[in-house]
Amino acid sequence: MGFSTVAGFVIVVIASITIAGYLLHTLIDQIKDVSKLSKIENEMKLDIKNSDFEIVKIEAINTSPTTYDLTIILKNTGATTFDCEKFSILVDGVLVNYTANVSRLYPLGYSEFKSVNLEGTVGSTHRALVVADNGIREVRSFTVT
Amino acid sequence: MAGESASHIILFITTVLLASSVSAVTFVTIQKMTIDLEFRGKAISEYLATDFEIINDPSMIPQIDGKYIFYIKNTGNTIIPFTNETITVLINGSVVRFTTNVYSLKPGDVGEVIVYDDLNSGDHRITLILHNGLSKSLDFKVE
Repeated sequence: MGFSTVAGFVIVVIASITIAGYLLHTLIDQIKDVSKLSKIENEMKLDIKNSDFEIVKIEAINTSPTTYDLTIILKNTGATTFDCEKFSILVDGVLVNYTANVSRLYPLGYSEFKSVNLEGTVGSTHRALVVADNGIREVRSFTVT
Repeated sequence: MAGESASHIILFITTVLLASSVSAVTFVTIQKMTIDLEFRGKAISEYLATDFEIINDPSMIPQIDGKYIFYIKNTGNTIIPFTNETITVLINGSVVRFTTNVYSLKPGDVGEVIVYDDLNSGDHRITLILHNGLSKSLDFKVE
């Protein structure tokens, strides 16, 4: 009787330790993953808080009776660096292709974005919306000269 | 004496079997719980890493042949599945028909949601809901 109780107890204890270890391992892994991503999320929020840019100059020069080239100069007025390839530029609500003179826009730095062969005549007024990779945006209207 | 030994052996085997069964059932239950926990953990991780923005100029939504084009920018850290099956588009609270120009959006990428809906001039609201429940809205104007 006594040996049976001890044997049963030992089996249950060993199983409990194994189960607890398994559960703890999974829990720790999950907590690590979630806390790592929570940290990334906080960094992203902080990044947005510390990010800002300004359109310092916008120029539209006509190149044919119906087209113009657009040049936008941005200044990074925040404390983070922008990836120039990840900006989006919308002219009159439509996404346009562009080239940038630098690949990264560092704090207090300037970058020139050029978009060519856009439709518009001399004197016509348009709107440009510039969106950074983290979603912050600036809008400005301009006239083709 | 022999009868006593036999009863001890039976009792021992019964105890071992019972303890093993209880352990096995507990182990299977805990295993199911950990699988569920892992699944939830992954879902939370994915949700936290996902973010996007509707980047249209609210007063100038591109319109081609009665279709409206909305630009969606992936501002998060994960790839967003970008198909009719994985996203839902609501305009003024009603589900609308739409197509997309790409199947997935990498971080920093911009995709198009082309909405087939007749919109009266005035103010409207588009809501885009991703596969993981993350949603974003944009108030816009149609001239």
